[in-house]
Amino acid sequence: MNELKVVARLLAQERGEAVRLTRERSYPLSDQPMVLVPIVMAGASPSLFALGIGDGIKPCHVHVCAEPRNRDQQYETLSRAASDMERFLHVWETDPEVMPQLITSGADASRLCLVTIHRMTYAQDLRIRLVGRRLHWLDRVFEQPESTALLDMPRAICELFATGQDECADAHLGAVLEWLKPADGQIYDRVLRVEDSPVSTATDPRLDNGKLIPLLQAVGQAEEKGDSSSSNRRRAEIKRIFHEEVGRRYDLIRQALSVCRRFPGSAGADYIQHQDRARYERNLAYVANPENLLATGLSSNAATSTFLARELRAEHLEGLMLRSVSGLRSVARLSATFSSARRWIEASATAAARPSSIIRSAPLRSGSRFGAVIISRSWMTSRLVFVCWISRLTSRARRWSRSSSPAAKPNQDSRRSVTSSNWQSRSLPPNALLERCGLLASVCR
Amino acid sequence: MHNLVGDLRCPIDARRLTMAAKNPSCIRLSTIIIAGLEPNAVTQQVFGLPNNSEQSAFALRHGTTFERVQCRNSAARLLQALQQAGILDKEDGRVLDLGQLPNSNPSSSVARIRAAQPRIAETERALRAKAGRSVDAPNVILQPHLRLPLGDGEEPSVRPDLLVARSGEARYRVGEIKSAPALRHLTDEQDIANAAAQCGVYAVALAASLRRLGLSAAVPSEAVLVLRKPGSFNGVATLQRIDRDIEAARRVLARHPDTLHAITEILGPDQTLDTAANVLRLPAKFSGNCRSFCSLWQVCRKESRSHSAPAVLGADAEELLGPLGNTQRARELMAGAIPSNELERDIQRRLAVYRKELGEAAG
Repeated sequence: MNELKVVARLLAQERGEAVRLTRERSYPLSDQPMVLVPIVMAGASPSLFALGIGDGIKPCHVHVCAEPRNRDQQYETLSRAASDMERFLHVWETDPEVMPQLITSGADASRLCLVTIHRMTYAQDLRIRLVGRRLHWLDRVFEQPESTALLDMPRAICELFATGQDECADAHLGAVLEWLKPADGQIYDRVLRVEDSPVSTATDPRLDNGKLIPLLQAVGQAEEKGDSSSSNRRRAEIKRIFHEEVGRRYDLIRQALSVCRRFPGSAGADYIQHQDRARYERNLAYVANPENLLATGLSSNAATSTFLARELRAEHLEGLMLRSVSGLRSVARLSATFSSARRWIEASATAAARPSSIIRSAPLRSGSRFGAVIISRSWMTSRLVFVCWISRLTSRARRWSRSSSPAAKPNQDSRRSVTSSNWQSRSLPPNALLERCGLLASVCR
Repeated sequence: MHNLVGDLRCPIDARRLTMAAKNPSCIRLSTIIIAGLEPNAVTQQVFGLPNNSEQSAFALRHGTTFERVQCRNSAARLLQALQQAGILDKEDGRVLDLGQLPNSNPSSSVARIRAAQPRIAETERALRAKAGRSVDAPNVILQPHLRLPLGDGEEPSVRPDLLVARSGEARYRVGEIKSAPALRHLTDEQDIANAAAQCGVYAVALAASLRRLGLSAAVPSEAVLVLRKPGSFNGVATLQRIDRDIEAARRVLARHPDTLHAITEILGPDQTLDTAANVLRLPAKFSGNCRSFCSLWQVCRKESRSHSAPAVLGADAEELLGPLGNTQRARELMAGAIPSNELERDIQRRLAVYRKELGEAAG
C-alpha cells in the first residue's frame, strides 16, 4: 500500500487538481526518445492499422496500412516505419550520451510495440530485420524496475503526480492530463469527456462500425472492379482517419512529456540511464554480426535467472528512488551496507559479461548466512545475486522483528525506526518475512 | 424491462457468471445477472446512458470466423493444434460436433431450452462412454451442453466450446476457443484470465453432470485454451490451470440462493428493476476494475463519488480509509478534527505522518 499517494489523492480530490508527489523524476527521459503510437485492427492484434513515429517534440510521421489483414501491405507499412526508426537508431548509435528510449501511450501500447519489434526482428526484408534486431533487447527489459527504455506515459506521469481518481482511471493519459490542469470545479465533467475518446491501441467500436468497415468494404469492391480512383479516394479517407487518431494520442504524449521534463532527474534516474545505455550497446555489439542469432524466447534457466535478477534490482532501485520521496527514509535505506551492495552488483554484472570463470566474494554484512560463491556463468551470477538478496532480507526481518517486539527498546537509533516503518508500509509482518526468507533460502540451497 | 420476481429463474450463461465472480461483493451486479438482465440494457434503458459496451464488428467477425475455421472439416485445424501441443495423440481423431445438430440457433428462450435437451443427452452419453473407456468415445466434443445446478432446484445449461480427452483417459477436460492472438509472454493477460474464468464455470458444470450420472465427479484442474496464431487462422493450444477459477465459480454459485433472498429483502415483494431508484437501492461495490467488465460502472462511480467512498481513489485508499467509510471524514481528520474513537485516532496519526512526508518529498 502506498500511503503517501493515498494522502496525495485525498488532497487532489479536495482541490480538483493533481498534487505533486516529488521534486525529482525517478526515471530518465531521453533527449531523443522514439515515441511510438500503434493502432491495431480490433480483434486482429497485432495487425497494425497505423503506426505513428515521432520524437515527442516535432509532429509525428503516421504510417497507415489500409488493409491490415493483408500481409504484404503490413510488411510494406513496417518497411516504411523501419526507415523512420532508422533515424532514431542512428542518433542513438552516434551519440553515446543519448539514452535509447521508446515511449508509448500506455501499457497495452508498449506490449504491442514489443510484438511489432518481434515481427520486425524475424522479417524477410533485410531493412526491417536490421531495425528489429537492434530493438529486440527491449523485450528483455520490459517491466523491469531497472529499466525505463520502454516507458509508458501514464505510468511515468503518475510517478510525479497523484490524481483524485483510482489507479485504473489513471491508465487513460487524457484523463490524467485533465487533472494536471488548474482546478475549475468541472474536473469530473472534463474527465468524462476525454474518457469518451480512447487512447488505447484500438479504435472506438463506433468508429469501426460507422466508418472504417464501410470504407474497407468500399476499397475491396473498388479494387475488384478495377476502379483505382475510387479505391485511392477511400484509402485517402482511411489515412485521414488514422492521422487524426494517431495525432490525438501523440499530442497527449507530447503534453505529458513536457510536464515530465520540468522535473530534474534523480540519482536513480542517472543509474537507470547508465544501465539502459550499457544494455543497448551490448545488444548493438552482438547484433552487429548477422551470424549471431536472437532467441525468440527464454529457456527456463534463463527465465529464472532474469526473474531473480529483476527481484534484486527492484530492491536496489527502491532504495535509490526513496531519495526522491523522503530524505529521512533515504538516510536509512542508502546506508553504507547498501552502497557496498550496489558496488558489488555492478561488479558482478561486469563479471557476468565476461565469459571466463571468476571467483568473487560478495560484501555481505557480518552475521549473514551466506558467504562467497563462485560465479562462472550468467545464471550463476543470478544465483549469487539471489543469495545476497535473501541474506539482506533475513537480516532486515530479524532486525525489524527485534525492533517491533514489545521487549525491544523503543527507537534505539533513528535508522532502525525508519527502516521498520518502511517494512510496515509494505505490509510485511516480521514472521511472514522470516518465513519468506527461510523458504527462499531453502530453494536456493 | 423484466419483473424481478418473475425473472429469478432466467437461464444464466458462463460469461455473465464470471462477471459476478469478478466483483462478488457487488449485490447490484449479482442481482442484475441473476434476474437475467443485461447490465448494458439496464444502463441504457433505466439510466439513459449511451451504449458503452458496443463491440467492433471487426472483432466479432474475426472471432466467429476463427471459431468456425477451427470446427469445420471435422475440426481438422483444431485437432492439429491439440496434437501439436501434445494434448491429444496422433491417433486421437474422433470428433462429436453437437453444433451440427438441427436447430442450433433458436431465436426464443423456449426454443432454446427445447433445443438444448438432445444436446444435453448426447453430451451425457459421451461422458458415460468416456468413463467406461469405450473405444467409440469421442476425443473432442464440440459445443457440448452441460447442466449447471444453481442450488435452488433450477438447472440451466451452459455450453463450453469443447471437451477434450485422449483415448486412454477416462475424463474430459473443458476448453475454450478464443481468437485472441497467442503472443508468448506478451499475450494479453486479461484475455487469458477471462477464458480461464469461463472454463471454471464449465468445469463446475462438468463435475455436476458427472455426479448426476453416478460417475466420478473429479474433473481435471487444467483447461484447454485454443488461441489464434498471429497472422493466420491456425490455432495454438495450451493448458491453463483453472483451480482458482473453479473455486471462484463454486463460491458464486453457492451464494446464489442467499443472493435471491437478499434481493427480495432489499426490494420488497413485487418490486421491479425498471426504475433507477430500485436499481440504486441495491448495494453496489465500485472499484476501478469495474470499468473493464461492467456497463454500470459510470452509474456506480457517480454514486460512490457522491457518497465520498474511498474506492473512487483506488484500492490503496480503500485499504487505508475503508474503516472510515468516506473520504470526507478522512479529510476532516487530516485537517485536525477530533477523532471520535481509537480507529479514527490511528488513521489520523497515520495521515499526519504521511502528509508530512509528502510535504518533504514534494517541497
